[in-house]
Amino acid sequence: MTLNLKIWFLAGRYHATDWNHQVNEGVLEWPPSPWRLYRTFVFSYYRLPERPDRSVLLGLLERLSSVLPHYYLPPTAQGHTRHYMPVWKEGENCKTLVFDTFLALGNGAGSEDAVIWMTWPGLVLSESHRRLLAQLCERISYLGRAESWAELSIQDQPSLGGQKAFPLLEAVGGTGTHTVKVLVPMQEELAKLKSQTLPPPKRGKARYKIPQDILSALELDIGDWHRQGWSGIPGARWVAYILNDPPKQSESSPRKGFSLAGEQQSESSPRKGFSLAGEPAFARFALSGNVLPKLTRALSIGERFREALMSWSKGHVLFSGRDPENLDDTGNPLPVQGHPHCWYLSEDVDGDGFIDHVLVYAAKGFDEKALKALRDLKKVWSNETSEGELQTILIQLGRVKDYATTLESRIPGVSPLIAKATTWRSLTPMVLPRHFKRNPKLDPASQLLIDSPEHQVLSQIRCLRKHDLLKFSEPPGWTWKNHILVTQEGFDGLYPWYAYQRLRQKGNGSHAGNKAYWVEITFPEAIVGPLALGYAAHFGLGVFMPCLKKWQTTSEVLSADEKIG
Amino acid sequence: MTFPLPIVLLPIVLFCKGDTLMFTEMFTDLKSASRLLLEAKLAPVQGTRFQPTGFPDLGAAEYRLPDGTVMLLVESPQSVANRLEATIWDTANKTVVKELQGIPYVEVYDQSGDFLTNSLLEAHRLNSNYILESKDDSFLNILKQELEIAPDKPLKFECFAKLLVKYDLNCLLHGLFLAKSEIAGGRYKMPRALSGFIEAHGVEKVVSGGVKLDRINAKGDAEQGAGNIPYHRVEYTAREIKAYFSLDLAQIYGYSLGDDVENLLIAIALWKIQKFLENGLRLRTACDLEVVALNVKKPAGFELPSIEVLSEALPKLIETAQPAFANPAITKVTYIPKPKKKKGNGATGNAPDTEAVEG
Repeated sequence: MTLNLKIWFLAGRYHATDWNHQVNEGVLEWPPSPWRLYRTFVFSYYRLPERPDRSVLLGLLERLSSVLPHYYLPPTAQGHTRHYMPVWKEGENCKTLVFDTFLALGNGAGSEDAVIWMTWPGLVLSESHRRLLAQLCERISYLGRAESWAELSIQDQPSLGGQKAFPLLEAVGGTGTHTVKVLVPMQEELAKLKSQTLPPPKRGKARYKIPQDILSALELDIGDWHRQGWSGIPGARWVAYILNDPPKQSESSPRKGFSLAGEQQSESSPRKGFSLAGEPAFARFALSGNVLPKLTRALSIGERFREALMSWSKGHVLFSGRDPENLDDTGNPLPVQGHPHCWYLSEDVDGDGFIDHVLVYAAKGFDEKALKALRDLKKVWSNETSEGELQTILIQLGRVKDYATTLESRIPGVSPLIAKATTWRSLTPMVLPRHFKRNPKLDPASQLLIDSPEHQVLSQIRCLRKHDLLKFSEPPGWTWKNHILVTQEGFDGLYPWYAYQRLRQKGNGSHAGNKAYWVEITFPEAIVGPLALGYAAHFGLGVFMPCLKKWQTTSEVLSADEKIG
Repeated sequence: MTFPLPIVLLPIVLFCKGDTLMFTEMFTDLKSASRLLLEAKLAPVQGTRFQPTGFPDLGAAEYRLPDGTVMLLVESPQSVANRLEATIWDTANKTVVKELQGIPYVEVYDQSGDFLTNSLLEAHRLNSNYILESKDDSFLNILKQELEIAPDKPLKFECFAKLLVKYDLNCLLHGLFLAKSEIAGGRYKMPRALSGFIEAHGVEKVVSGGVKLDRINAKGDAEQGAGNIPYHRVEYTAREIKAYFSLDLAQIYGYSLGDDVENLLIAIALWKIQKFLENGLRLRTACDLEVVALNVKKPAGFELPSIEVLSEALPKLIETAQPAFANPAITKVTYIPKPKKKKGNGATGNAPDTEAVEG
């Protein structure tokens, strides 16, 4: 026999703060812990019009806590809101900013698939316990915070499906991909506590009290634990659960895929076990502002990021790109060679034409000073009236090789710019560094006209390859002809090339006029991003996105060539 | 020998008893239900665009469903709660609407006797600083006495519910958190029984903008509002906009307040929902919505009474429930500001609203 509980989230959302976190950290408790559920049962018991004896409830809770439940979880996506709460404090009216993080479940409000199943394998309840449990379930209107409208019911015929979570101790062979910790009330834990001699009360705290039974432990107010100085919850234990596939997280979470160096990594992170022992080479920021900048402003955003990071790092060479120990004749620092300095690459993850993320990438990795500047960066600003201040949220810090997966197996929440793909296509147009000669010669190796747009793309690729930023091998007899498509038409129709800002406000860099081109490159084998080519490539021009679509036909290439000519 | 009632008289008798019958049946039907769930399909009154609520440092609250569908929170539960509460206040006459005359609440006056605010208008209802943080601690003492607070004793939630019926029964619908340490260490929390939110499914951004023109000096100082100033505007279109409401009947029945008060609470909740849907859907300047369809999702077969029927029935229900109210129903207090403390040592202030209550 198995006890099956159906928890249907009517509003399609689940709001609940993890026990080990403050509400504004934006960390959710997922899956809902048995501790939370059993406390909700106690809450419900005290609202029954005709309450059965307390011993019946105690018996029910003892039975439930004697078995670790299994979960069957629906697909989820994380989102959040922020609002100010009016507060009366020390004789003043003030306000405090509150984050409300939630999980969207199934198909949203009212959908039949926003359901969690909890099962207690082998648990058989007596008639009185089962009747009481049914009564309690009927009286529960939410689970978690009050917005998590929920309907609970005991089911004889469950329709189990979705992601399964079960205690790690029960896993044979470890079929799951990652673990989470779940707070569980345990009778053994309470019994063990009772057998121990409690230490004297801490200074300024009340005496420790051990709850008499599991119901008393569940009834305890959090304030009481704090007053007695408990570091945990008496009568509860964290149990490791294994999930059989990674949870899907959306792009809009304030802490999506959070894996900051120096911070404890979330147990539910898709990259559990990933060590930041090596130096991180990329930092990914989410942007927040009343109106996000258009993709056409990618160059400006790149420059603003560089200025802000130079300011925070007091002109660190990784951000400035100029070596203070290598001066020219006039005493100015010379540009560093080999592209080890940062790239500031804009992203448009949802394809709406607005920049929502920025990837700061340093091929050789960041040092401690650079990491501090990256962590300190909270906003970028602009002197232009049309572009206001942008809030920046550091959401990822890591090494490219740990995150570079193919598009098919890409982990949601990870930058697509650092994917592994064969075909890459312009996200922002490329400005050529050199002018196209009137009477060009043919490059025999590549079969491309020297200094033609395609040839310049190839030169840039060779340059990156020379500095070990791109790694691939060319099969014998393979040439680049027909593997580099350059066009002025664009690929997605979002904005024409001339809508993009194509000149840096400050700084040098050779460029051949104002024209910009869209490029698609098919490499002989999959390469790992990021990839940016041409003038101002470090600042967001000529950025490439991986794509699945195969190379166009030769006629399409030729017609594109004609247009360029 | 008895004679059947003349056929002509029968409809008249039924008509006269109609409301009472309907209400008796309605409340009987709801007794067996644990919650009432309503869904209203909405659409912009004109055009296709609308402006959602904005959140600090975030703008509009977009999020995604697991399948990638872009969703938008048009109105949060907190905002809908405020709008539902506002339906019963007649701003022009500074009183409750005529249908709800006679309900209890706490009115606050300043030291010169001028009206300041009341528990219906305050963000934290009875937990307002103008009611509980005043030198006039008469109402605070009422709470302490009537809640019979004793150290190391369990809280009496039935007692708490009865007290709220007495002084402001709307707190039972919208929740209350008595966050003061003097009142049982801030443990008296009442989750909201009536809740709602509006969200849009499958949204797209509509980005527009313009320039505020200065006819005299186009390059005037923008910080002083002069000069030509470009501005942005983001509105949305959606495949579907829906308002969702939940009335937790089990919670209301759980306080054992008696049929008269329970029925009144349910009727007020339904009236607020109907009033909000009828008059309150102009949420912002560029967000004017109307109801396309209103469905009862639970309990099955329940028919939502119209606002006219509810408006007619409410005065009678209030009259019936009056013995449970304070006498007079409106409790008056005076707000006398306390001197500012140098260091906080006990005044906890308003803790997070009932939204933060976790089960």
